[in-house]
Amino acid sequence: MNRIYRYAIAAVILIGGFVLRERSLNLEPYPAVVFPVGSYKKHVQDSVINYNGKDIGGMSNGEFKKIKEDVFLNHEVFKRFRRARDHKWGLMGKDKPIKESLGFKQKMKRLLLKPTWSKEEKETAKQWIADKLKKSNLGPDKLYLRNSNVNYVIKTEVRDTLSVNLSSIDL
Amino acid sequence: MKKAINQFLNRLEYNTNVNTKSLSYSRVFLGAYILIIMPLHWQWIAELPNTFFFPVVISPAKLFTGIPDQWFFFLIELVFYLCVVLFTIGVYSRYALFIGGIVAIFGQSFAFAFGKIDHNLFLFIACLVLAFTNCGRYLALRKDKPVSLKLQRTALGIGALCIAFALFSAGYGKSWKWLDFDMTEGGFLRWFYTSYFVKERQDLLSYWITLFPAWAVELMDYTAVIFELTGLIFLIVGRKAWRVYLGIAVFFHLANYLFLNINFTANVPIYVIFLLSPLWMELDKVLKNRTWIKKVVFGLIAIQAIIMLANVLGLTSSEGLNFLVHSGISEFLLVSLWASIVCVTLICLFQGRYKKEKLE
Repeated sequence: MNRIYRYAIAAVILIGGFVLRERSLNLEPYPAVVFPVGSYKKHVQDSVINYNGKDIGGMSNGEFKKIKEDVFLNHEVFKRFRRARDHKWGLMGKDKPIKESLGFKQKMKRLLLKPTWSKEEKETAKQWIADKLKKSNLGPDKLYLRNSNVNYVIKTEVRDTLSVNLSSIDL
Repeated sequence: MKKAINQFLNRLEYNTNVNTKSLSYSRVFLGAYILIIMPLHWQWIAELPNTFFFPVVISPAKLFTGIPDQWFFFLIELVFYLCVVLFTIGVYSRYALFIGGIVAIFGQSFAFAFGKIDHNLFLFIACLVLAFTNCGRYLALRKDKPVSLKLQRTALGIGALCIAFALFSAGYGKSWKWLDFDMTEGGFLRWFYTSYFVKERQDLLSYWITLFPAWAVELMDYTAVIFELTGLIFLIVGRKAWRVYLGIAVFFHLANYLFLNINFTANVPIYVIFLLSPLWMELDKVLKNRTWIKKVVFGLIAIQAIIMLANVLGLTSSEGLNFLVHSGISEFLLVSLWASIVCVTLICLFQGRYKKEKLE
């Protein structure tokens, strides 16, 4: 192959991935030869840091407790579940019909649309989550997602939770 | 037009070219690095329920309708480690590098199918770049058939282009917001605050940032953006300039690790290809009459490889020397690794080693 074509192919792969990522973070392909941006800013005089925290867990004696990360797989991979968590672990929405044709049309649909899961697959997932909750000594009937808005005062090192939104999924 | 493009590419390839023998050392380094520092696993994915599976829009994982079975991940892990072992010891190195790189990207696409994408692609880009070179001609149990030097130079050129472009992709987004000439706001500061106070990454020198004056923190914003955006320029300017840029990149990663405790460990092998070539040539001279050192090193790597293969087969949970990366001395090890690359680069630059490098 001509050298120029080799570089042209490389350029298409490089620029393609970058353009998609710039359009939206959700469009970032894998693999794409890009590094994370993180272009947020902070006021130098700010003495308070405001951030949103998301935790998953269950109830123990009527109180929310985080699920143990090493139980829910392990610490490293725990962070990976952002998209799955935001999609409520795939447990909500319509059930996929049990018999699905694996024809080309179905595959293309699956490629372009959000995945749907059968009742059986959802049951398996529920049992899996319930088992992890049990192992964390938490109630296995509901999985909770806690969204909290927190202020951290730098000087005093005090964390002040401004608001907490607790949502749950029945298992 | 074609002539101008060819002249441009000639220049790029001259600037990024390295000695073939040193590529063989980089190949062994890459293999040992994957086996000891960055072993990859995918069998854990099969444990998860299908409903967690949300691959990104464009990804090899998207071709699947759910999480594949355990045997699938076992197979890709086995193929990957067999490839790593083969290219490390130098048996069908080129094929092993290519297949290993592709299999790893494929496996990682499943690991990132739950939401978070890690930017550790350069570990596999290093495999793919070396796959199109003559790195399997030396330090190999079974020497590869040679490929044309033209192809080798192009592979190295594309590898260098990938590094410069990836850094550009990070700097581009920052440039619109960080180059604001406003001393009251800081981008690096935001990174630091989130890292130090929210994620509680307070190791190494991170505390020092709290002692920095505002102007120094603001200066870091400009330095980071200018550094990330200018890789493509350094790439074209000259051989030395490209190494200077990579030296700064390694220093940048070292500083990131020291101050923000963020480690870009996966980038080490690709930097090593371009930066450590003079060191490899010196090492080659030293090892010429001391083959026992080569044998000891290969022996150690072979033991590590056997442990990793046994781990994949489920015969042991040990990862051999990888325990060092998770032990109390891991920070010391990683800082030493980055710092030694910076030091070697500086020495080579001052002694003009990159200019003197013998190229085929």
